Amino acid sequence: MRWITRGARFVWHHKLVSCSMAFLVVLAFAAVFRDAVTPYDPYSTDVSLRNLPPLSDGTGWLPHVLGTDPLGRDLLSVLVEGARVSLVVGLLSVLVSGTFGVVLGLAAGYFRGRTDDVVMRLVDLQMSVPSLLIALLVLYVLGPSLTNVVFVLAITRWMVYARVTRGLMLSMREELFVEAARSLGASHLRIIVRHMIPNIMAPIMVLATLEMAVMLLTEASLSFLGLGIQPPQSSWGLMLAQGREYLTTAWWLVTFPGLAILLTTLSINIIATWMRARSTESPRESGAVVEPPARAPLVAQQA
Amino acid sequence: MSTVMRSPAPVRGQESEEPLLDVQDLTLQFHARHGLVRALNGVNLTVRAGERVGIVGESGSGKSVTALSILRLVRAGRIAGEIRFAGENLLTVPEARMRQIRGKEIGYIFQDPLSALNPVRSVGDQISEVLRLRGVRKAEARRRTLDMLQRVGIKDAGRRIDDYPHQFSGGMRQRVMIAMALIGEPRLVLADEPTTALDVRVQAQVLDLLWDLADERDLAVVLITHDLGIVAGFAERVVVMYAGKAMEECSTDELFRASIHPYTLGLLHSLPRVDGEVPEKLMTIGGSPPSPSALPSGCPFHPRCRYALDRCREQVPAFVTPPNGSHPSACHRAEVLAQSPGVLQ
Repeated sequence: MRWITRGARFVWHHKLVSCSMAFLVVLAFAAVFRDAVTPYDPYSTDVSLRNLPPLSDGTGWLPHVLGTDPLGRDLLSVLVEGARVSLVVGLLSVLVSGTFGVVLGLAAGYFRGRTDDVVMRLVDLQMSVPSLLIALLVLYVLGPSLTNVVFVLAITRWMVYARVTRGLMLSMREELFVEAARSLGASHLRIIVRHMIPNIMAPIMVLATLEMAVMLLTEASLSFLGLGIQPPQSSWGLMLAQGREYLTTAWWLVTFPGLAILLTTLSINIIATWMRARSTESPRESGAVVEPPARAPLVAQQA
Repeated sequence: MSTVMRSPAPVRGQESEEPLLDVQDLTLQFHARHGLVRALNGVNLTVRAGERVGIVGESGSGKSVTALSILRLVRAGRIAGEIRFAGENLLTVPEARMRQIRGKEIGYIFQDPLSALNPVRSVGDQISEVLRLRGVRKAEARRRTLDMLQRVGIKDAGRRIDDYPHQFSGGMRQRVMIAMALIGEPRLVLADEPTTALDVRVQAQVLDLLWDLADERDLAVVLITHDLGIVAGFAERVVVMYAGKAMEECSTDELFRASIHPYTLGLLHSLPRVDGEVPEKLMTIGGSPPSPSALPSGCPFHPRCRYALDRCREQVPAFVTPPNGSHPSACHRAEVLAQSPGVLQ
């Protein structure tokens, strides 16, 4: 009983956050259990059902709630199928770029010296080239596919994590408890994994959440430009691209995928903002990201 | 002041047994933007097994750096000299061996337990880390941590073992630190001002606890403090430090009655006496301690010393026992002072 009242209180105090969470949960549920949401196969085409407006009658237990597309596919089914692809791409690319960036940032911030120089110059280099350009170039060379899209998104965004992680590590390595861990005989790896990472996880999680929204948008743009997800697979960006020609005759073709992108990224951003506010409530876990000068004075490098 | 109301135990016999820790002429220098910083300029310290030794000195005299250097925890700088611990030279052993020594052979108690404890890990987790690092199984480590927490006087230890550092009071946190330093059953503990952040009553409790634990485990303790009262109550022997240099080493008794170093004598005379009359104005040592990046030539104390000769300006005094003295002192005039020890002229 207690957790019900606590849950109710949470919803009351954080209405927007609760709505966002509810939306994402429903979306994830729909993506996983697609068949429970719509009776139509997103891959079966029927030109006779071309561009039906929303709420037209269909053959299944549900009408074509969002209408149909130029190939006669049920738009809701395609949208849910697109959600699958978009969410998988978003999650995977956050995971890959996050892991890569955090590991490099940890090494740079902990060991300083040459490691730091090399990693940070790489970051600067990548920051100075527009990421969409890199993405287009790599995808043009490798050819578009789901794995390549994930790969491209990861290599264009890893430096965000590397920067933030390094900044956090620079302040963390001066903490007395790190010294204390060394005085107990802990190795470098153990100090990083057991003592430092738990302390920087909160801001990294906030960052990863925000990045998830960025990834969704970038994936949509890439697919819109024709270098992302390829038909017959569908994603929200691809649906926008395909519906663009019919903007004046079938408004639902772009409206619903556009709304899906908007609501999903908005929800994620609202949740990330709330997470950040929550993590700064306890001052010792604050996610204040401070970039100290590249070389702190006095701290020489241990072998 | 005078927080521990126990008289120090008699000094152990000075037999031929090798000391547990023997630090000779330890120096530490590092380069900073404003030039060469000489943090340590000749520290001598010997600790026998089970002995309690105090290091006293003003802020910035190099007490903490000495302790950190013993465990090779100072990241910057060049260390020279010799640190022998149980027959091993700690300055030359490989890093892997050093990691075994830390925590297992030599424990370290930090001054500020709140920042020395990781805020996001439970205290039980942190205390048992020393054991876990050495391959003790989880359940066994937890059991021993529980015992240790009870031993350091944490009430309801079974429940508190999973609490986080911010849920403890200052005194309790320092007890946790002590548990952390002692769980590996070291032979030597370096306690760096363990009671400075605590109020006087809790100071006494923590020092009593440290005393009892040292006693029952035959543990040697190096207690770093700026408080002569704490040294008087706790240590058997004392090293007085000034400007990164050991100035005098003697038994606690000799420190208060028979000092033969002008700096120590000056310190003692700047203390108000409980049994004497209340002075109008406390005596002070004129001037201020030198900066480690701009040490005076010769004896670092000579600009403030009322005994200073020309020689003191030119030549660094050796840390030796004068022929008529009972203990070593780094002073050119130790022999003169040893004629009437403990008297400031």
